[in-house]
Amino acid sequence: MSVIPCLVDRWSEENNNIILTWKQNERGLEPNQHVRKRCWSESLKLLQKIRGIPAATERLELEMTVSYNTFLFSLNFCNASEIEESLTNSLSRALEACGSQVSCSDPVQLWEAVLQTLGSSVYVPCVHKLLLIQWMLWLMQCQSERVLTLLMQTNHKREHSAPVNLQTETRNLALSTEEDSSLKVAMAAKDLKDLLHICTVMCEGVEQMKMERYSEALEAFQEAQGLPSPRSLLGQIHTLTGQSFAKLGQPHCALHFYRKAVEVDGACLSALYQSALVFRQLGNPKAEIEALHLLYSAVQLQSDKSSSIASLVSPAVLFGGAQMTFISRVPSPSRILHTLAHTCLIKKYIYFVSISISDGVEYYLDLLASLQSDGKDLILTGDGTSFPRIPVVYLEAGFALLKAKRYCDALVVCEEVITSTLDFIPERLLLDADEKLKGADSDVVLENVDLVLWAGAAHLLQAQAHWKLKDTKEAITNFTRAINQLVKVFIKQKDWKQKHFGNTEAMIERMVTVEAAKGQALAGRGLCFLEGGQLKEALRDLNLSLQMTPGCKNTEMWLTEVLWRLDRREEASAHWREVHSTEDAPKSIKLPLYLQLWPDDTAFDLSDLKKKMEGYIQAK
Amino acid sequence: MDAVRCSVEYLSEFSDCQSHSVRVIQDGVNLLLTRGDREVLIFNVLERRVTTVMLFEASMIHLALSDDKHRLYALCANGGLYCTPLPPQLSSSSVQVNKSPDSVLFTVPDDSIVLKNASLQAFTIAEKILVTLSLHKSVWSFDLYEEPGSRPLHKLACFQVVTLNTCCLNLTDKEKSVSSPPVLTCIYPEGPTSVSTDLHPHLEPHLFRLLFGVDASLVNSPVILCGLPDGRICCFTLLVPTLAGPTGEQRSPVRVLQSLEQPVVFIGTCVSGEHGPQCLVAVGQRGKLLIVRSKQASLEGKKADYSFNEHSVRGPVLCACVDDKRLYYSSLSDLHALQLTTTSSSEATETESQLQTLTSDSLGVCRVVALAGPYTNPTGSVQLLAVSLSGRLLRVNLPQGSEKGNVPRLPSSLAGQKVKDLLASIANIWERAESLKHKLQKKNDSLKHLNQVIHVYSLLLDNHGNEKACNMGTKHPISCCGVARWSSLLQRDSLTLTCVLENSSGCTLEHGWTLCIQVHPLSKGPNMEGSSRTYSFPFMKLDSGQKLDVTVPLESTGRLSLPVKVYCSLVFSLSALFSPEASSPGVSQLLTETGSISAPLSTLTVDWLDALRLDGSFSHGNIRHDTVTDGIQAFLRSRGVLTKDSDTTTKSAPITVMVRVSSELLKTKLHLSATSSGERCMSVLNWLVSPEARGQMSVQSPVVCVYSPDGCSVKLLVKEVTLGDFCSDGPLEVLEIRVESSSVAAVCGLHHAILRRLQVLLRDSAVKCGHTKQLKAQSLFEAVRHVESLYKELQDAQNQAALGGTMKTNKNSEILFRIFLQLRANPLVIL
Repeated sequence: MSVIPCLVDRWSEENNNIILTWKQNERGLEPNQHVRKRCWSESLKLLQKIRGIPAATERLELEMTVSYNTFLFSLNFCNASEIEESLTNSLSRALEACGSQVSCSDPVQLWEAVLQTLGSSVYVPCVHKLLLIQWMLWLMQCQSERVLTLLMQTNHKREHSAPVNLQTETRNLALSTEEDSSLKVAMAAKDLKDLLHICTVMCEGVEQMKMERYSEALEAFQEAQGLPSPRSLLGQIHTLTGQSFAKLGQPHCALHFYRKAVEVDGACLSALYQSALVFRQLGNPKAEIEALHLLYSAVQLQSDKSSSIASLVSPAVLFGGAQMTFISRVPSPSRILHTLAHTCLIKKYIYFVSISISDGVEYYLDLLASLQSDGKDLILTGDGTSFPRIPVVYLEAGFALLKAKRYCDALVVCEEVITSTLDFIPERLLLDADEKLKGADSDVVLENVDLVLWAGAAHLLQAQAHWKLKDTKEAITNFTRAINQLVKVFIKQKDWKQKHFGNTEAMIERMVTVEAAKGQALAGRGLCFLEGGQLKEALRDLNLSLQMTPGCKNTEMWLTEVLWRLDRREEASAHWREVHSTEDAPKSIKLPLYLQLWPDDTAFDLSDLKKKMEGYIQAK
Repeated sequence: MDAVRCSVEYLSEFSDCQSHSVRVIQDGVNLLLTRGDREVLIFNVLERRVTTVMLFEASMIHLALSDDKHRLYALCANGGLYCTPLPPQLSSSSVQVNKSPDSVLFTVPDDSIVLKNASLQAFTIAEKILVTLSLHKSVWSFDLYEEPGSRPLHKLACFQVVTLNTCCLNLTDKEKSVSSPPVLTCIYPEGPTSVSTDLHPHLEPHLFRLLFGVDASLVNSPVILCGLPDGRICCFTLLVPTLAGPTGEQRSPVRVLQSLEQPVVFIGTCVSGEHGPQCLVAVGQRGKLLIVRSKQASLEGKKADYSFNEHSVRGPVLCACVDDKRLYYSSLSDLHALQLTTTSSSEATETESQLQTLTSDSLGVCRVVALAGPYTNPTGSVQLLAVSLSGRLLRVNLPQGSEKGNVPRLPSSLAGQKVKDLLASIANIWERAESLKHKLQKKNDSLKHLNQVIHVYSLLLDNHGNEKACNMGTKHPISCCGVARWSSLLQRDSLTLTCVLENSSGCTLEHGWTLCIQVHPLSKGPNMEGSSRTYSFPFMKLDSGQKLDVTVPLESTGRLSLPVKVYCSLVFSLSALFSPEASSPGVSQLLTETGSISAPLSTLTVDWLDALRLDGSFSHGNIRHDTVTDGIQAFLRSRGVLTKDSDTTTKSAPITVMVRVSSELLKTKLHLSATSSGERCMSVLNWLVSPEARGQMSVQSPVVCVYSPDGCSVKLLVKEVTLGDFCSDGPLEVLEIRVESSSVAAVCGLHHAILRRLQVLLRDSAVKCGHTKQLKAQSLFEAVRHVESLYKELQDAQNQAALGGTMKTNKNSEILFRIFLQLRANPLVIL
């Protein structure tokens, strides 16, 4: 008989030693994962030793405490079901020690029995510790229903008529968390309870968000804000609150919370990302670009430092994988970089925001470098959007380089696209508008059209670069190549613009784009001819270009100039008047970025023409 | 004839393998090997020994090395993916490990599991991304994890493909996946800046771009190809998986390239060209071979394309690997090298390329279940490492001379000639084989025959050894017994001996055996020199249970001289062992001298008693007619005229000789049951006259009149007398056998015969005579005195004969005859 108390003492000491090692490690500057593993295996061994002899009430407290510690340590090394099995075992042994035999393995029933048997005994703190473990496990598996049942069982003594609600149950939960100083624990039950509480509430909120019930979600998050929580978690709560506000159409509130999130936790990337999205929504390009830029820098910083989480129970573990990605989703660096670069260019050339083009170019060059480097990273998009096709990225980069007057670089980048698409260009691409294409087939057709378009656009950009380099001959060659590529796409029906295709807007959009590119190429070549004095050829090309893209003001102007030079002044003046009467030509915003070439084109001085024309008209 | 010859070295031998989960990875001189059990062996090829054994918790399904080759990833049957650093001696030479000759056992702890998922099927590692493939509820999902990552691994992405439920392939998913796990291969585009990783295959940029799209090619991203057990080959770009679709939406990154419609065993690249391997090769389990090649864009600007060529090789294909030009694959029965040729579209049409492609050579290595390599060793030869089903680690040295594969095919005329030569040589070999077979057959037959002969001899020798026992009535397996009979032929009676050879042994006497009967007269008359004769009777076959009867005459040169000893023996001629047409002259020469073995069977004696004639029906020709007078007498006798013979028999009274035997002795010896003295006498007489018919009585009276072989009548008589004073303990019953005849020769012969028989009888069972009779001294004394007086007379006669000359021979013979008669008339009693 004297052996047993002695054993209890020895085992308690062993347990305390393990915890002491852990606490020292936790306090240390460099928390070590190996220490944790060692603590886990040691405490597991201890638990196995304790379980080696029949359960008895003298050792119940010790056994439950050791179980609690072991479960906490094992979080990173075992999966939830394994821990749960062990937990069930512990509960059965506890019941066994108290003399009541329960053979059912259903955890809910088991808990009912345990709470009934031990609910009013001195073992309540230990029982509640294990209850926290059970709560944690179910939270990890997103089984909020079972958590609710469990907490209701615990609260059962107080009869209150409030509606059954996880939040209220959690709030009203009274667990006895007194610590026994003789038996140390890896994490105080109170701390764990607080963490579980806030995480449970957050989970509720996220679930509501997923069901698009944003006001309910907001309530949950607001409750969570009032709870004590670690910084990172608070940042995430703020972000989620902001997201709910954004969804509820209150972007300024949203921004406010995003700011709070970043203030609380500087590494809260999702807040930055979300605020960029809000800024875009609000039409504040500078702020948007800044936010994206911050995000990009932060992402780069974060990827440098090792992300080892020292704390025993981290929220990342508590939230299941899916929830965590929902909470802290951030696109991959490449995606951010592209968004940033693309936004810069779009704002500059479509919305005419005064942004330095060189930033955009640098972003694009960074992006291309990251795509080409050996230490590639996986390009992932967190939020269901997809990364643009790589040739498009190249063309955009070429476009940016062209705009930044780095013509030679632009030539090189476009050459890449040309060589890579070369093999895919068919001799002729005949599209039949009446043919019904389904799914994959239409995708193939669209893909083919895309390839032709990319090749044509690459030639077009190269021609532009050559022209800018004053190499008119090379420019004409490339314009011709672009035209040759683009005219390969051919539609059977003449009236395709009126008719609706088997598939659609995507196809219409492609065709419009192809036509626009064709028009630009023809116009460009016409301009080259004009410059070289080949007026007839210029006239033909410009006329064709106008057929392709009617209403392009610049082209009309040049046509007027050509006509003027050809001494066809009547026609020239007629054109002139026509151009001026239709002042608001429809903007080709729908065109891809890399085809947004002309609006600011000042290659040709129109003031001279204007003077001439006005003079002529007045003279008449 | 041009079969690829390769040499195979046995590097090591392990225990049996499980064919579907044997994996070999080569890393420099080290070989990582698993046989589907719990161990991963690290085998040093140079030292030819296992340096390290890594013991896992469950049996192994798949193995892979991390990009930097410092970590080993292993998927075990318990669903755990283990990541363990490779032992240090692999990367850097660790002193104490290298010195120890024993292999180091290293148990992989269970906390090295980085991922646990029971539905994991396969995985691969590329670009520091761990790609796993798992099957859960008929959905294949590709999961991408960071590598090396924290634990639990940080999941980067997940793509899913629904399993195919086509009728042709649809076994249950579990069965399929167990029998053939999916194959994950990572293929890099070959380029100037390509990462020099030898763990993954490369593909030339052109085909790579055509197959996997512009995006992968622009980013230089590797592509993960997956051969699913349902035969589909899926692919996705590893680094840019989520790209915008044509309509701007996100599309599934996983694309199905082709379906082999059978479980995929291998995916790789082959046929190296200027810019890297030019073919994508996939091999299905049932032998379907898919070769993907690019077709160059023609000058007209037609779109470049790739072609899927499907071929068939003989399945099942267990494993495969490729080098620059060849695909090596193992069916269970053989390892094949399949020449894959570079055919650019300009020079070869499709059909030609197909023909050229399928020149498969057998390497003659069977039961290979896993392959590694091929790699070129410093001397320039190409080597494959293979693991056979029985657990042998083999190094297959492939023949050098890769240009051999480029040798153009033979022109048809030469080919015809070659085929002819080949057929001729086949015929030659067939003939040789046939003759060898024939010879072997004959040798076997001879040996069998010889064996039988020796068996028979051992039986006969046993007989011989136990002759006594045999005489007691036990039957020999092979026996020969003879009976003398009178037979009449051409009016002339002659005494013949009929011998019966009985084979009651289990074996058959084949041809080559001869029954030899030697007849040897015992009496030495003046004309009897060299009168013994041998008769041999070769026979073809004597089956077990059969009998052979032969009859030989006992007279020689017209004279019958009794008694005759007959030796029967079985002789085997060795030449019979060799069939007459084929035995080589050398052997038969050797056999001429002592070409036979002889074994005695039995020895018989034919005496006067045997030659007696009971019936007296002489055919008259029997009478001897040695001389003219004899002939005349015989003639006269046949005419019924009795003439007075000049012989002594007719002149004088019949001579009587007598043998006395104690009747009690005879009774016990002959096992006589008769109680009355008359019956007893008849039995004894019967025994003497016709011993072969012991049961029935051929003689019905104690007196029998018979004829001797020379035609004289002889009276044989047996009677019982009581000698009152002979024995001390009372009167003694004595059987008196009396022979009366006028012919001295007959009397002598018969007397001798009777004594011999008695002698044989008594000798054979002398032991049994227990009690001795107490003879009366008086009678014994008288008998001795009588014999002594006779002896004295004999001596006198001899002396006189010695002194006298030829003049007195007649007198002498008379005296001797008288002594003889006296001696015979009152003989001693045989007790």
